[in-house]
Amino acid sequence: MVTVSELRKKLDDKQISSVELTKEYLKNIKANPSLEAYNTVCEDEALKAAELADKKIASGEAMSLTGIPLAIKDNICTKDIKTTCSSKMLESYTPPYNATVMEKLNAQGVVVLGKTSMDEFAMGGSSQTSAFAKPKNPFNTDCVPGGSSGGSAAAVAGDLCAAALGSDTGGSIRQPASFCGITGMKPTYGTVSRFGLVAFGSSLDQIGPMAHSASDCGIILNAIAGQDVHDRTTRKHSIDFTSRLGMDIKGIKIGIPKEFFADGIDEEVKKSVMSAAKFYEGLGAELIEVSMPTLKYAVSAYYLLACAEASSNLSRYDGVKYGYRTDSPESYDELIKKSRSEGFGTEVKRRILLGTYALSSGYYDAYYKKALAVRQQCRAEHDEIFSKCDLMLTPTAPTVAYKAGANIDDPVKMYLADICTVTANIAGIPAISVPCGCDKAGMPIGFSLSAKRFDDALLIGAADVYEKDHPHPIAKI
Amino acid sequence: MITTENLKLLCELSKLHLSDAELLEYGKEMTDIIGLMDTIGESNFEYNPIDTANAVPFLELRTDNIETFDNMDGIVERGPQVIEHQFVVPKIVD
Amino acid sequence: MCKKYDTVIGLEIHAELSTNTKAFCTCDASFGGAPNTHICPVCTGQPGALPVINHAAVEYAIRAGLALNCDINRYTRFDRKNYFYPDLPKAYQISQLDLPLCINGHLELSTGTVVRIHQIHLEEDAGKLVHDDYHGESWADYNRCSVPLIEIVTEPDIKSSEEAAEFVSKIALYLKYLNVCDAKMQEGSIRADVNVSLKPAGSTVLGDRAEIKNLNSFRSIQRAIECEIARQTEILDGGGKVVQETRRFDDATGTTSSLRSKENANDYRYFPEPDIMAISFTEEDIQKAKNEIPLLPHERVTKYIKEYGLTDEDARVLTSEKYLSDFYDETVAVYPEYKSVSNMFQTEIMRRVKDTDDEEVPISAQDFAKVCEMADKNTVNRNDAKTIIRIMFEEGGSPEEIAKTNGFIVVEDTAAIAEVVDALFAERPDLIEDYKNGKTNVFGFFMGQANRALKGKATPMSVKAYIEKKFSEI
Repeated sequence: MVTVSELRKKLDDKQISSVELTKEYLKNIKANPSLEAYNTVCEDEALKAAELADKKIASGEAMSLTGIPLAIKDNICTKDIKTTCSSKMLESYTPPYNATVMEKLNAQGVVVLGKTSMDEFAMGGSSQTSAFAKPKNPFNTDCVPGGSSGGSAAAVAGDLCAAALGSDTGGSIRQPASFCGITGMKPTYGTVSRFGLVAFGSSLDQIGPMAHSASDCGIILNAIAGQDVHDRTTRKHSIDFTSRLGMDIKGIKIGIPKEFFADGIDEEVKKSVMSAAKFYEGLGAELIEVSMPTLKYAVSAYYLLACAEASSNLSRYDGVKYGYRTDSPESYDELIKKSRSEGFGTEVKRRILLGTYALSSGYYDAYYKKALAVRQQCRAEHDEIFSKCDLMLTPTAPTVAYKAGANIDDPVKMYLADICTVTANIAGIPAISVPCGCDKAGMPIGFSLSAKRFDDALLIGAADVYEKDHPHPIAKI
Repeated sequence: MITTENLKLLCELSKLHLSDAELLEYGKEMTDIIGLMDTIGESNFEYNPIDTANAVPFLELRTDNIETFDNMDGIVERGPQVIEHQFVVPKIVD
Repeated sequence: MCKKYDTVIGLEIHAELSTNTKAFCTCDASFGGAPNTHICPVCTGQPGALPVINHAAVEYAIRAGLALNCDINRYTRFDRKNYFYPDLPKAYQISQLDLPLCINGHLELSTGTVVRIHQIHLEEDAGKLVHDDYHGESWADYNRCSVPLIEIVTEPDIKSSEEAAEFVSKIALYLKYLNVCDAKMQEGSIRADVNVSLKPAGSTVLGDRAEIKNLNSFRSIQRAIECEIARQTEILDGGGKVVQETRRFDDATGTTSSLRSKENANDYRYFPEPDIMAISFTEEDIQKAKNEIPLLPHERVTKYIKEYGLTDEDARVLTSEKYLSDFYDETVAVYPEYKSVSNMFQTEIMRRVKDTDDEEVPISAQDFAKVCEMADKNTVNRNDAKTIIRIMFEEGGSPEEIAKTNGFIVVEDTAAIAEVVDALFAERPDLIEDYKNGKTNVFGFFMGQANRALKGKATPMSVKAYIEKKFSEI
C-alpha cells in the first residue's frame, strides 16, 4: 500500500513512471476479479493518460495528482466513459459532458483507471444493490465492503488504485471506508461541486476522497474543491486542506455525544472508538460529553429528505432521452412505467415510493415538513455542540462489515445501520472516517471525526495525527 | 399501514408498475418502512421556511451571457429513438 | 335588462421573458432554431446536471412586479413541481410556490375596476411536441425548455370578458414597455389560463369555477369566457351545478370542453428546489430596479400632453404600441415639432404599419424627422412630403435624394410668382370687379390657378402673400 504523497515523490524522482504505475494497478485489478470493485476498467484511456502525465512530469509541470492512478465512483459523469450508477437504467449511458471534479482532475493529469461499482444510484450500505459488479471486502471476500461507495473502498483497500472518489449522501464514503480499513471523508456541503454527480439527495450529496491516509484526502480535496459556476450550492472558500497536518492536539476540545455509544453499537466497535478518543486525550485534548437529542429522529429525517429528493431526481429516467427503454411500448404512459419498472432495482423503487409518499398531498406536513424541521433543529444542535467543542468523535458504523446477503431483505434494519453517519449530511458538516484497528475476526473498525462547517482542514489534521501513530490495517489479499 | 390502494396511487405518481405479487411484497415492506419514519411524528420542532443565512445575494446571480454547449449532437445521439433530431415517444393524447 | 348572475373571472398569465439565456442554463433563449439546437445537459435533464439561475430573469420578473405595484419579497425561493410529460425532460418544472418574487400588486382598467394581482413568480417553460398522427408518434424538441416565464396570478376581480381581454392586452403592453417580454402571441410568448364562475347577482358567495387552459390570443380569451359564461348560465338556469374542472377552448367551434381529468395526476408534490439557493434582496437592489423602470404607457401619455402639448387622444394613439411610441420619441428627439410630427406620424406612418406583425417601422426616425421638417419649412410641399414617405416605405432611399430626383424641392422664384399672378389679374378684370364689390371668395380662384402654375417653384405661402399684396393695391 503506497500513499499518494509517496507516489508523488517516486514519480517526481523518476523512480517509477506513471505508465509503469498504471500497469501495476491494472495488473492488480485483473488479479483480483473476486473483489468486483469496478464496473468499467479503462485500460487504454488510462495508459494514454499515463503517457501524457509522464511527459508533463518530465517537463517539470507536474501538479500534486499528475500521473496518479485513481478510481472514480460510477455515479460521477465522465465524458464518453460509461457512467452507470450500477443501474440497468444507465447500463450503456456515456455522459455527453464531464463532472466538474473530472475537469479538475483531468487538468491535473490524473490517470483514471475505471469506474467503481456501488449500490444502485447510491442507495444502500453494502454495494450489493448494484445491477452489475457486486464489490466485496478485501479483508474477507465473504463480507460486503460497505456502501454505497463500496467499489471505491474495495479498490483502495485492495490496492487496485492509489485513491478514489466516492460520494456521500448519508455515510456512503465513511461507512465503506470504515468497513475496508481506509480513510474516507465527506467534506462540508458546498465544498466540492456536485455538477456531474448523478443526484440522489441533492441537499445532502457531496463528493469526497477515499484513500490510504488523511493526508491523501487533503491532497485530493485541494485538487477538486472550490466554488463552481455550474453548482451554485458551492461556496467561496480558500481552504488549504493540508494546512493542519501534524497539528498540535493539546487543548483541542473533543465532544463525545453519548447517544452514539448507546445500545445497538457493537461492543468491540465502542471499545476501539473510545481508545481512539483516549489517544487524543493522551496528547492533551479535552474530552467533553455532549448530547444530540435529535439523533433519535435522524434516520427517519434523513430517509424522508433523501428519498423525497430522490423521487424527484430519479423521475428524469423515463426512457425518452437516454438510458433504458422498454420494447415497443403502446403509449407514453406504458413507455415510462415499463422503462422505469424494468430499469430500476428493488431498493431504488422502494425509495422512490417512500419519497413520493412523503411529498404526496395529505402526507407532506406529517413527513417531509417534519423532516425539514428536524434538519433545522439538528443544525442548531450542531452549532451548539461546536460552540463548545472543536471536534466530535463517534463510531463510523454500529458494526464491522457483515456477510454479503445479510440485511438485504430487511430494509428497516438496513436503514437503522446508517444512524452514525446521517447527521453529518443533515447538518452539512464535514466528517472523516479513520481506521482504528480490527475486531477479533480481523475486520476493520473506524471512528469518525466531525467539525463545524468549513473546518475541514482541522479534521484532516487531527486524523493525520492519529494515523501517524496507528498505521492502517492491511488487507490479506 | 400502506394498503394496496395507497401503493397503487404511489405507483401511479412515480410511474412505476408493480405486479400483484410485487404489490403485496412492497406493501408489507413499505408498511414497515413507514413505521420507522413515523418516529418523526414524535418530534415537534417548528420549521422556519426563511433561512436568510443560506441565501444568495441577488447581485451574485449568473450574468445573462450565452455560452453554447459544444456537444448538442451528443445529447441527441443518446436518445433511444430519434427522428429528425427529435426525441420520439408514442403519440401523446390528452 | 336586469342581470341574473355576476361573472367572476381570475387570470393566470404566462409571459416568456426576453432574456438572452435560459432561466437555469446558458443556452440561447431566442425563439426558433432547428430542433434541439438550443440545448445542453442542464435543460435536457442529463444525469448530474444542475440549474444555475439567470440574474436577468429575476431582474425582469421584479421589474414587471414593480410596474404592477407589487411588493417584492426580500427572500425568495424556488420549488419543484413534479409531473411526467415528454416535453419536460427533468420530469419537474422549477417554479415558485410559497415565497414568490412578487406579491400584492394591482392594475386598474378603463372601466374603473381595480384588478388585484395575487403574485408574480418565475418559472421555466417546457419543450415543444410535434404530433405525427400517421405513425402515432410525438416528437420532442427541447429548445424552449427552461426559457424563463413569469406567471401573473390575479385575484378573481374581473367582471366581464371585455375586462379580461383588456387586462391581458394591458399586461402585454406593459411588459413590452418594460422590455421584459416580446408579447408576441403568435409565438406563444404570452398565454393565459382563465378561471370563470358565476354567482347570483349581488351575492358575495363565489360559485364553482371552471378553468380554461392555454388561451393564446386576446380574441380567444374573450370568446372562451363568453361561451363559458353562456354554458354556466344554462347549467345554473336549469338548476344544475357547475363542475369544478379544467376545460379546453376550441377556437374552430367556439366551444369549451372538459379535459379528461388525468387520474390523480394533479398531485404535483411541490417541495423546495435543493439545487437553487434562496435569493435575498437588499433595499438598494429594489431601489435600483425601480430606477431602471422605463416610462409606462400611461406615463408617456401624461408626458405627451404636459410636455409636448398634444391632445389626450393623440397621446393615447401614439402610445398604443411601444414601438410606435418609441419611434415618435426618436423623431421628436431630432426634430422637436411635437404636434406636426404627431400629425404626419398618424396619417403617414401608422396606417402603413398597423396591420403588420413586425412591430417595426421600416424607415429610420431620423429620415422621418427630415421629411417632417421639409414639409414644415416648405422645402417641399406637404403632399409631396407624403409621396416621399410612400417612396421610402416602398423603395427605400433618403428623403433628400427622393425629393431631388422627383423634382419636389421648392424654389422660391419671386419673379415667376409676379409673372404668373400679374398675367392672371390681367386676364380676369371681371373678377377684380367682383372683389371690389365685396365678393372676396374670388381670392381662392387666384390662389388655385397660381399654385398650379407655380408648382415646385414657389410655396403657397409666398403665392398667397403676393396675391394679398396685389389686392391691397387695388
